[in-house]
Amino acid sequence: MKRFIIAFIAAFIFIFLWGWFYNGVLLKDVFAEAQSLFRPREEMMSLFHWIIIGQAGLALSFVMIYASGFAGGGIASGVRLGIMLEILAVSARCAFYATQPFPAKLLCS
Amino acid sequence: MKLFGLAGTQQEPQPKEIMDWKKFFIAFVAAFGFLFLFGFLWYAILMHGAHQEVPALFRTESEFKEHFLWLVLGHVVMAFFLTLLCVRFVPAGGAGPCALLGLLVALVYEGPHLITFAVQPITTKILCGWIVGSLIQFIVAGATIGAVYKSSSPATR
Repeated sequence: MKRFIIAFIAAFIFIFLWGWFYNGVLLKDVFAEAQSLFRPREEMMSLFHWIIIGQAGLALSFVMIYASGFAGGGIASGVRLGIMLEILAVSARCAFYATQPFPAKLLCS
Repeated sequence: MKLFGLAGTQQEPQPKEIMDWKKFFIAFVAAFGFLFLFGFLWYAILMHGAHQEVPALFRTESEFKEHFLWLVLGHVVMAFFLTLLCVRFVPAGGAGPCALLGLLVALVYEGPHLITFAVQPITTKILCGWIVGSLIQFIVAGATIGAVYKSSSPATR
């Protein structure tokens, strides 16, 4: 359980920092192109706790899947699981792209 | 650590030993059929009114038709990798364990839904609809895959 909690905290910190760096810094201009689809900055900041809860939930469920079936394989298993879950996430993004007017650049990013 | 009594792949399995590709394909097709039909029923029919509350966030009917292939592609990839995940994670198959895996996968999706709510002006009704929809979708899809794959090769554990 101790290792589970440490893995969860490590995953959460990585997801949070990477999410901020990738979406908030690197893709800032791409998101700006679809400004009308997003909340204004102040409104977004007032709902910031949902981002934290969402990322914590994501990290928790990822670690739960890893811990209950992939832990024996070490780092390689974690990477494989990460790739499979990311491909599942990409498939959901394709469905969102079909229904929401995001620029194609955002889908590819 | 095994959560919910799920027995995963603790060792590196040899694909030839545990994969029954015919059953895999049938499970994939069944999962795709369910995901697509349920998605249509839940998101396009039942949640149509909720989505109409924020029309600016969604494509118009004609634009959606132009992008329909992306929706199909998304569901194909989703069904394929969910099937792959189930087969690798629960090689013995079974509706119950695969439904539990579906639940865990659904929980992975709930995080991004909450983040979407924070950054996009969707209503709480839409958020709740997406959360409940994806939970049902992945639990039942997982159970479907597990039920089909259960009767696969006797070599499966």
